[in-house]
Amino acid sequence: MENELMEALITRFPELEGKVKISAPLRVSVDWLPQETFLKVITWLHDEKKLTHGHNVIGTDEGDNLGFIYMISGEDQVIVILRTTAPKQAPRIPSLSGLYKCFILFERELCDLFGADVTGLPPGPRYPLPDNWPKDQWPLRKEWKPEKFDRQTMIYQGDSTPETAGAPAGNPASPGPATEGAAEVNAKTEALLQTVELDEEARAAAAFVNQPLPGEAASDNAPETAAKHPNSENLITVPIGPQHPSLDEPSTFTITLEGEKVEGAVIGIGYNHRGLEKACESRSYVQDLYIIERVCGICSHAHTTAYCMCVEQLAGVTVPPRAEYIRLIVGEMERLHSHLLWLGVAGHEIGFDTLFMMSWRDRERVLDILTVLGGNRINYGINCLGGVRRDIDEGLAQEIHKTLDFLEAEIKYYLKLAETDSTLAARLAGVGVLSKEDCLLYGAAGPVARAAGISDDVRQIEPYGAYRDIPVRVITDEHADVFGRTLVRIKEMLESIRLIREALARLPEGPITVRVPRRIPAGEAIIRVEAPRGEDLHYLRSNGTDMPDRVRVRAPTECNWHGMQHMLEGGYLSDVPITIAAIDPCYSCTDRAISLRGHNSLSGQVLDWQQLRKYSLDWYRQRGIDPSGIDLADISAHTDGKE
Amino acid sequence: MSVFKRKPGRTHPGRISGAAVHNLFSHPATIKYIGGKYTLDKRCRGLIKYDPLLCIGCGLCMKDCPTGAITIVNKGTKQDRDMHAYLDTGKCIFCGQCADTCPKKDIVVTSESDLSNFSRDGLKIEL
Ligand code: SF4
Ligand code: SF4
Repeated sequence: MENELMEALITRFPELEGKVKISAPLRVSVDWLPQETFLKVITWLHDEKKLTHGHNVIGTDEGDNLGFIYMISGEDQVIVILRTTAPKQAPRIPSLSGLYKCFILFERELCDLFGADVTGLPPGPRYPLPDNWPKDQWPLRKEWKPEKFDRQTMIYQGDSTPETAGAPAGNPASPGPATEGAAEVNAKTEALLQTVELDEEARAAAAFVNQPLPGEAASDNAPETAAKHPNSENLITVPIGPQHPSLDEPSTFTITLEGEKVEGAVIGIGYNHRGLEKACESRSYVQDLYIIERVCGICSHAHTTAYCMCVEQLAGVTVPPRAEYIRLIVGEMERLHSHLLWLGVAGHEIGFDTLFMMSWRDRERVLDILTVLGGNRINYGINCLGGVRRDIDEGLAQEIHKTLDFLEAEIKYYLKLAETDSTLAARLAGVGVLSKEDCLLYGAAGPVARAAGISDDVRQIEPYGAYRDIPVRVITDEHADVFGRTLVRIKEMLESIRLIREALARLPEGPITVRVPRRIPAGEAIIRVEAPRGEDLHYLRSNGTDMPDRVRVRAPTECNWHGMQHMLEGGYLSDVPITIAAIDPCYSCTDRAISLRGHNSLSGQVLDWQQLRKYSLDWYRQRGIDPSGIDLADISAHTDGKE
Repeated sequence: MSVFKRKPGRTHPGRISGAAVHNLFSHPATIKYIGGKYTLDKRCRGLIKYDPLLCIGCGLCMKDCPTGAITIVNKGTKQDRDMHAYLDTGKCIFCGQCADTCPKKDIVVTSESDLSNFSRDGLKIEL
């Protein structure tokens, strides 16, 4: 497959001769191309070769240039890696969101983190940096040093790279290096902008959420587009979040309603940006393992597995089979724990709290096993570079078997419940529909795609580790709604139990770890693994030292966000929470990154503990409540000088 | 862990009485607030233990610690070592990487989890 694609590419574009190579199984890597050629190639691959699934867009710092790496794939699952560059002085590239809808978030990220000027990007909230983050600070550029940046004042000390400052803020209408291909793509983007969804998005974006950032003029066409709606006087907007009881993590949803019906939705995420990728660049590979583990509290194993596989591939070491089996067992345990957690949350969102109590009780059993397996309840830390850190002995295997027997009975009961309970079916069926075509268009992953009948499971597409020995039966469903996603997840848990049992029965003897050198040879690795929420794609580039050059974590939720707006629109307000919950969103995963957001009335300042306390005391005093009555003075006397 | 002993008490109505009797005689799941000691399973990762006599002062543990929580100091001379290890338990994430890295295996992970203190400085301890 890879060869065919490579030959087709070279036949169509003779100038690519010698620039295309198969870098790994199922990966066709194309060398850096000038923008013109790049746009021709990607348009051709999309239109002619039907490589319509966009996986990721990665920005890199190439010295004087910015690099942009695009990953796309088609039916045969070969990932084509295309690269292009733009000079740092004028880092202008056209948006490809017309071709690949799922690139919108990734391209916003390029603007915020690298200062790229992506032309033709549909309007929307900033992502992933905080609103009060200065517009000319792009943290992922190599010359940007975190220690020079003062988070309290948001001022960057030192040379503020004058030659690049202001470039992206330049007039977007000014003629760029307009190429033929760019014009083509821009035309396509324009055409797509005319279609309903984007129109709605633009309108909804205009309606509110998108409050102009400090120093940014409000988009002029905003009120106009809002007024275009025939019923605009009947529309009301409900802002939900960033802090809201029904949201587990911060994010904003601005819902436009006509009566009870959702007319438009604008999603603002990025509140959890912690700058993990930047942190990884200044730490060694061993230390990064623990950062990567903390990308997410639930799929921590999936992320470390992908990261370790990247490092192992670059270092050229082979992980002992026993370690691979243990990784599988922990990975499937994690899936059990994640899906049980989801089932509980879903039950909670639809007011079925008994289900929440029951499934979370069962999840505790899984966590008990993970605790004794890895040593910790959530960040098990069982992966290490070159294998795993702990072995499974006979006694532990018995414990696991006992827990699996218990869980199997419980999960079968949940399945019966989901299939027969009329309330559940009535509440979930037809909610948050994302059809097969839409899933493909928006690049949905994991259970969301599988619930729409797409057999999208990395464990089957590209078996890694012990999945090569123990094939997975992919669970799909045709409902394409929240009900389907529930069924898929419950059935997947039964499949996970089967996999763990089989892996325990076939657990090979031998060592559990091999030595991995500290310095990793230069190169790049693109690894995908199946996390509980879908495809988790890691990109790692090393430069021959003991620290990585670029780490990019594309968590599964990041692909599922794109279809969210579509799922919400046309539904009812009461269905919003369960629709959001149904993709099992993991905000931390997506944002990868804690940045405190200041209170607006305090001119965007981040408060420290003392200021925060003073603020709260004043707040009470203004309302005539004297907080001194509750011995606060006493508490401050104790804590003063110690905090 | 008392949770391992729990029986499914829901799927069958007859089990409810069984569960009631079981709960009557099982240990309470909670512990006394003041004075009660909570012990983790010994396979859990908690505070690290350090043996100054084995340590050769290679500093690898400091290099690999993801949070910079551990500091090894030699207060003696080259010939006559006097090793001390300081740990900032406010920073330590109990990952056990130092124990894995140490070539002499003089750092071991214990399941000790009773670490709270009244002040930030009190969290910095000598091992
Ligand atoms: S346990 Fe981890 S965080 Fe704590 S001192 Fe050791 S290496 Fe550092
Ligand atoms: S790695 Fe071990 S031997 Fe080396 S300094 Fe640390 S504790 Fe001592």
